[in-house]
Amino acid sequence: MSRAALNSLLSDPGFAPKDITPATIEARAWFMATADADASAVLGVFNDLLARGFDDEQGVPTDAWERFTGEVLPKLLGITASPPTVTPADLAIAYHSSI
Amino acid sequence: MTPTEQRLLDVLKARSFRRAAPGEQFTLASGEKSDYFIDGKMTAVSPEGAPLIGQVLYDCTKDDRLDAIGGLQVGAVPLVTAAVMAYHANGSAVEGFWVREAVKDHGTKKTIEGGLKPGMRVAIVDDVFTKGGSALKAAEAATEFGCEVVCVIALVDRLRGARELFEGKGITDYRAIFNVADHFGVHVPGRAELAAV
Repeated sequence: MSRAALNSLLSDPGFAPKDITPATIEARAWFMATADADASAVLGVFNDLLARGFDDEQGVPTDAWERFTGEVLPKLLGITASPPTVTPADLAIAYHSSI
Repeated sequence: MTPTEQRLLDVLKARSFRRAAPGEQFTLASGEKSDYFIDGKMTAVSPEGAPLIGQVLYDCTKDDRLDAIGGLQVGAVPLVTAAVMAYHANGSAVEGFWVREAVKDHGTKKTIEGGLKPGMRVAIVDDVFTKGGSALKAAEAATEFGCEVVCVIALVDRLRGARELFEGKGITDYRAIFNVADHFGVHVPGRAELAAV
């Protein structure tokens, strides 16, 4: 359920930094319900985004945000799809390259 | 503007306000773009900024018969601490509280931390308001808890709709100590045109 809810949230064309916290909550709920590598990888990404201040109401440098939306968001959409089209390794590589 | 407010503005400009470098831009929480950034925390936890914020919040609310001051974590936490210390230093007392954005899943599972009690008259504070969403969450949590939100106070208002948001929610006492147009020289599209109407 949380996987589908997270996919729905991420699919919103208006996905913005304000959605990072709700997405992290969904990712955590998914991980708590399903202890698998997909959920773990996604939760890891969102926890790190929070640690990097992506939830700061006052903003995120646009180049960092655009790297996230350009390189990582498509992978997040793929790994939260049913069935998933992206592996945890693909997500990890994309996130690593976006930092 | 009082001397305390002027000094706080100077500290905010020196520590918290930054215009984007050429080619740089910031994406706000809402997704909108901005060519400046205000990191209120850099002032709120600074040796001079923290007591100045406390004194300004005290001066701004001392006649409101408040029982408590609070806001949404994390941004409001240092402001709340500064305010309750200023109240104490001025021989008065208010409780401080903050609202968690997400309920923790261990321990007490509380949404609101601090000495808030139902029936209290409260002020909601935050450092920088864009659309006011963070402060609104805190105001709604305090109201749901049974408190009366007397006023909402922004240290800096980016003039992107916070006042209108609160007015729409029935919170008519909205106070901004500073705003980006008058105090930081930021051009806010539409503001002059609106004022001329």
